[in-house]
Amino acid sequence: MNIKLENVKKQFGDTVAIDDISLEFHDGKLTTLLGPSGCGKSTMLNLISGILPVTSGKIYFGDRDVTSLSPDKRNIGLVFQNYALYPHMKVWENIAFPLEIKKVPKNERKERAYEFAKLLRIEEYFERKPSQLSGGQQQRVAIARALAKEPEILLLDEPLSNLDARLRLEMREEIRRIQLETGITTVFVTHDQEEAMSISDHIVLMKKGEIQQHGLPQELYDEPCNVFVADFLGNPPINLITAVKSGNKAVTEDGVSFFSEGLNNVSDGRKLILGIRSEAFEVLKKDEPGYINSTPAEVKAVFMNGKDVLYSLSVGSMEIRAGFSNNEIYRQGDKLKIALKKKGVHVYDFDTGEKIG
Amino acid sequence: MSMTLTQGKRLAKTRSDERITARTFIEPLIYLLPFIVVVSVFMVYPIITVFLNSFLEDYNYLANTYSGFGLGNYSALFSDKEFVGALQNTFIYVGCVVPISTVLSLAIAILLNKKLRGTSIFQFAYFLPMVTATIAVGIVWKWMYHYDYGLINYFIQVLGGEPVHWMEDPIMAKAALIIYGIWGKLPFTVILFLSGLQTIDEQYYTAAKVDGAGSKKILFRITIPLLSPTIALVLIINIINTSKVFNEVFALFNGKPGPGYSLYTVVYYIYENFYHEMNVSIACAAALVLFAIVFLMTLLQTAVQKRWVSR
Ligand SMILES: Nc1ncnc2c1ncn2[C@@H]1O[C@H](COP(=O)(O)OP(=O)(O)OP(=O)(O)O)[C@@H](O)[C@H]1O
Ligand SMILES: [Mg+2]
Repeated sequence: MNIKLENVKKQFGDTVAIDDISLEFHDGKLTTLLGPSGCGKSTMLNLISGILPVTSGKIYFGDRDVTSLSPDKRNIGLVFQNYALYPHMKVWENIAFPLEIKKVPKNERKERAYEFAKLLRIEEYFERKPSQLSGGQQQRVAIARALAKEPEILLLDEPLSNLDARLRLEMREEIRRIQLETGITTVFVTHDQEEAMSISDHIVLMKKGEIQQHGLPQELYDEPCNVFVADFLGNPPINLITAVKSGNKAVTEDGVSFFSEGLNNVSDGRKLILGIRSEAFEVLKKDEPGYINSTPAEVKAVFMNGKDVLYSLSVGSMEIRAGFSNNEIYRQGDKLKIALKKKGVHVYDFDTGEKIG
Repeated sequence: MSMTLTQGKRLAKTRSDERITARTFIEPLIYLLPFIVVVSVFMVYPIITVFLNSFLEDYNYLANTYSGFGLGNYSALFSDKEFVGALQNTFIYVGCVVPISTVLSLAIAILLNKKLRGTSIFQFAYFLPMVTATIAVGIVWKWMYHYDYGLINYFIQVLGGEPVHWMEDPIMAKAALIIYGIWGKLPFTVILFLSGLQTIDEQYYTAAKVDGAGSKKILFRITIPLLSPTIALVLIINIINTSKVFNEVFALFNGKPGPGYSLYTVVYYIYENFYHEMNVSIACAAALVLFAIVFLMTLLQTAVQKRWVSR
C-alpha cells in the first residue's frame, strides 16, 4: 500500500514539528525515517498512524484519503520503542490481542498467533509471560503482535534502541527478513545512520521537521545534497574542511591546498566547505601523475578494525580521517603525499551548505 | 590478640558478612528501643491481654478474680442472639460498602485520571470526607437524613417521591448507614486507585486503541488487570476498616446503635459489653472472633487474588 503525504504540517503550539512535507512511501518497500533527536521522526510516524491529527495537509493510503480517520480504521501495525507488551497476558495472548478485539474465536486466534510466533521464531515461548523473555524476544513478540492483524502498513518507532549492540544487528536483519517475506509496506524510524543504511530500500533524512534528502541509501551516501546530509551519513564521519577556491585548488586558512575536479565550476575566491569521505584519499608515489599537486600529510594515529585500517592524518593544523585502498600499512610518524579521488569529494557553499560542485 | 581485634574492627567496617556476635544485636537494639517500647506498651501488651482475658471463666474486672481458663466465653458469645445479630449487621455493612465503594471509587478515579486531572474543585470534593472527622460529619449527615428538614428527603420530594424515614425505620436506617459509609470510604480509595492508574503506561492504551479496542475492552482487558494489585490492596484495607464499623453508627444515631438496636455491630457489642456491662472477657472474646473473621477474609482474598492477579 502506497503512502502519500501532501503538504503535511504539524504544529504543537508554536513549535513546528513537521513543516509542509510532501512525500511518497512506496508499496512493499522499507522506508526509514532518519534524523537527529527532535527532528520530527516520531511525529511523522504518529501522523501516518493517526495517533496525532495533522495541522494541515492530506495523507493517502493508496487512493484512500485517511487524513481524518482514527488509527483503528487505518489498518496499520505499530511497534513501539519499549515494546508496550501487556504484562498480564501470555505471549500468545499478546500476539492474538488484535484478533481478540476483532472477535476471532479463541481456537483460531491461537492458531494464527502460532503462525506468527513461528515466523518470528518465538514459538517456544508461546505460553510465557513477557517478563520471562529477553529484550530481543520481547521485541519479536511486539512485531508478531503488529503483524497478527495482517495490516497493510507496518510502522516501527526506534524498535531496536533498547537492545544491546549485537542484538540490534541480529534484530535488524530479522526485521528485514520478515519485511521481505511478507512484502509489507514498512516505515522504520531510527536515528542510527548505520542501521538505516543497512536495512532500507529508501531513506528519508530529516532535520528540524524538514526533509533534507531522500532516496536510495547509496544515493544519499554518494551524492549528499548538503553539508548536513554529508555529515550525518557514513562511518567514519566525512571530513569537512573550510577553504577558499583559488585557481584549480581549494586553499585552507593555514595554506594547505587540495586539488579537485569538483572545483572546476566554482568561481574564484568563493568560500566553501570541502566534504571528503575517508575513502576518497589516495597516497601518491614520487613519479605518479599528480604528485606535484599532492598535499603533504603525517600519520598521527593508526586504527585497525579487522578488515580495514583507518588513519588519523595531520595536514597543516587539521586532523583528517583517511583510509587507503592500497595494501600498504603505514605507521605513526610516516610522511605521505595524499591526493583526492574523483568519487567521494563534495563541494558545498560555506554559507548555505548547499552543494555547488 | 590485640592484632586480631583491630583487624576484626577494620574488617567489620568493610565486610558485610562479619562474624555474628552479641554486638551485632545490641547496637541495632539500642536504636530500635524507643520504637519497641512504644509498640510493646501500646500494641503487643494489649493484644496479649485481650487474648488471655477472652479465656478467663467468671472474670470480675473490678476485683480481678476468675475461676479458671476455658472456652466458656466463646460458647456464651455464639448462643447470644445479640452477638449473632451484630455479626449479621456487620456482614451486611461490609458486604454492601466494600463492593459498592470499590466500584464507585474505581469509576471516579478513571474519570479523574482521564479528563478532570487537577481540577481543583473536584480534588476538593473527593478529599472532603478524608479531612473531616467522622463524628462531626455524622452530625451533618444526620441533618441531611432528617425526615422533615433533610436535604435528601427534599430532593426525593422534588423528584416526586415520598419522604423516607431514614433515621427511624430500621431498614432505611441500614441504608442510611451504608450510604454514609460508602461516602466516607471514597476519598482514600479514589486516591489509591488514582495513584495505581498513574503507574499504567500510556502506551498500553495507545497500542490497544490502534488495534481498535473499544473502551469496554480496554477497561476489562487492560486497565483492571493492570490495576489488580491496587484493587487487591483496596479490598483488604476496606474489609478491615469496614469490619470495625462503630463511629459511623455512633455519630448518626446519637450514640445509639440505630432505631431499635437495628444497627448493632460487632464493635458496638464489644463497646457495650466492655463499658456498660463490664463483661470484659466476653468483649475480649468478641474482639478475637472479629479478628479471626477479618483475618480469614483477607487470607481468602489473597488466595483468590493470587490466581487472578498476574503481575
Ligand atoms: N506532544 C508534544 N507537545 C509539544 N511538542 C512536541 C510534542 N511531541 C513532540 N514535540 C516536539 O516536536 C519535535 C519533534 O519531536 P519528535 O518526537 O517527533 O522527535 P523525534 O525525531 O522522534 O526525536 P527522538 O529521536 O528523540 O525520538 C520536538 O521538537 C518536540 O519537542
Ligand atoms: Mg522519537
